[in-house]
Amino acid sequence: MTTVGTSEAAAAPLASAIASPIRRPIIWLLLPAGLLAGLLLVCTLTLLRISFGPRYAEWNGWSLAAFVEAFSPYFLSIILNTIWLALVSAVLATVVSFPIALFMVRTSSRLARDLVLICIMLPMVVGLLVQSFGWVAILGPDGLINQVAFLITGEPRTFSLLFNTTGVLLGLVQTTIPLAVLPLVSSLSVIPSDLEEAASVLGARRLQTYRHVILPMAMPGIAAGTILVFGFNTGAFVVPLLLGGSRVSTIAVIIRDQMGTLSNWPLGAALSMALIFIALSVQVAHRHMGSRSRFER
Amino acid sequence: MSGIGRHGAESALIGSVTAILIALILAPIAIVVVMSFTAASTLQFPPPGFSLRWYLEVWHMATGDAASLTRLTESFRVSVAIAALTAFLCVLASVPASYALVRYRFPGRSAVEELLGLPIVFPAVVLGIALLILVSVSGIEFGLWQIVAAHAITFLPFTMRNCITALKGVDPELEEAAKTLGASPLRTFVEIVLPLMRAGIAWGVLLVFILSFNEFTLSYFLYTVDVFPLSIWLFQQSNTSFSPAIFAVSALTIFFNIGIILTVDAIVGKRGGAHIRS
Repeated sequence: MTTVGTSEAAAAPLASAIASPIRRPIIWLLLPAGLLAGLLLVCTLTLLRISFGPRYAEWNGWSLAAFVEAFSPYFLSIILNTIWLALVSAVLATVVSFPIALFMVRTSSRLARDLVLICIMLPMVVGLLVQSFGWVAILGPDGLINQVAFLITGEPRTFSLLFNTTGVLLGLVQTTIPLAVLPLVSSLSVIPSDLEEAASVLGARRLQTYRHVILPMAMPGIAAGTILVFGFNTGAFVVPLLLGGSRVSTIAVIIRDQMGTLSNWPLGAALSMALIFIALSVQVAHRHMGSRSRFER
Repeated sequence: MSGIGRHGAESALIGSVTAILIALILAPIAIVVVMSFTAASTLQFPPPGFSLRWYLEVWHMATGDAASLTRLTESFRVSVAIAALTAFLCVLASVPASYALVRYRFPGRSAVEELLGLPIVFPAVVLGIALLILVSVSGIEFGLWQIVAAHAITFLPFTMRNCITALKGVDPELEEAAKTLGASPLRTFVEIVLPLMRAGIAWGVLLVFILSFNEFTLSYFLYTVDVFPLSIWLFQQSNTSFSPAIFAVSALTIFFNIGIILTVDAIVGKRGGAHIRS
């Protein structure tokens, strides 16, 4: 009830006018969406149950073996590697997003702003499967980058960019940029231009203005965007699958292997619990980042 | 706006950095489109020449004698059906739910809001595997509905957000006026509120349709021999025969996406565009 907006004040008389018989309609109104969201809870509970079951008898017995195995050095290193990849990609995406967001806020041309928005949304909408073919043509051993390097240095296949961490990071950043740009735009756009002028009147150089005025005020957007990209990329599956080859493993890829070919359901479920835990932490952190409601703004 | 004259160099710098970054971000998509027009039968870059031969090849794959073998047309149809059903389900769930959240105060409202926002951060692999387990335990044949359910859960927050934004733009006094004049709550909603939400709903449908059409991870876990979406078709093809024909199909899906966006934009108009933004 802390989120009092203008529409809420306007809705109050309407709500009180039909106050008495409303309880039941609300349940019916929420039912279809509730069923879908409820299925998500059923999925979570199913995996939670399996994670505490013994292998090959998931529904009957109880065991902690899966969690012990999930935190063994091998799997722990993959968990940490996933978190590391997500963290680096989140920082990179935010850094890349900053000039783009600045441009979108400052340009006076609506067309330019719309065009930039469409351009950054396109990779996320098209999806990585289609783009991975393009990435292979760019990063591959005979791809664009190596062809250019060949023209300059005369050495064939200088860089190996595909099927290693570099390629995966590029893919992770490229597909999540809109998640970092949009919160940045909304926090940059509320900085009054008077503030920048005041800073310059008081003798601040541009860099000082950036460091002491713009950056601190953009902090909520920077934090919200970084957290979103981080959360999204901890669950990365398509990017490591298509650009990482078999060399870069993430939690999600390991879950697929354990649940599929290795048929170790409890371990897969326990690793899924780790991913869900990270996702929930991200949602809580994002909520505390000053964005009042997921649907507002 | 601050000091366009004074900081001309600065805004030029930001503008050119943005242009370079956008070019890099769009590079993979651009390469896919360029390679689809190659005249060569390999994927050498730059292409030695340009032609439409791979589009012709795709045309034969889709309509020729071997069409039922390549399953390209069938996959496209399956993907469109899944995307349409997903968008329909999401709107069906979002319109009443957004009305409850925007117009009523009730206990547990913020918990409901939290729950409905959860799919955004929920890892797709986990959802896909959990649904696969539930489906196999139930022993029921769900056909394409298992993918539709997964997509509807994942993309629900997108239509929710658009519907809530749209509904907030509808003045509650209009509803009161209609009710004062004797209209039933249902009639008020259908004749007054729904038409005013139209643009927001349309953009929500568009967004979910496109996201579902291109979705890979959930489909990867839940596809069956009979339900074979286009994204899975592309994935399998890329694993077996990596020919430029795949680039042509990929480019066609990109054109298909852009075409839908432009069509909706032309029908609904700029006013509704605000909802997809911010």
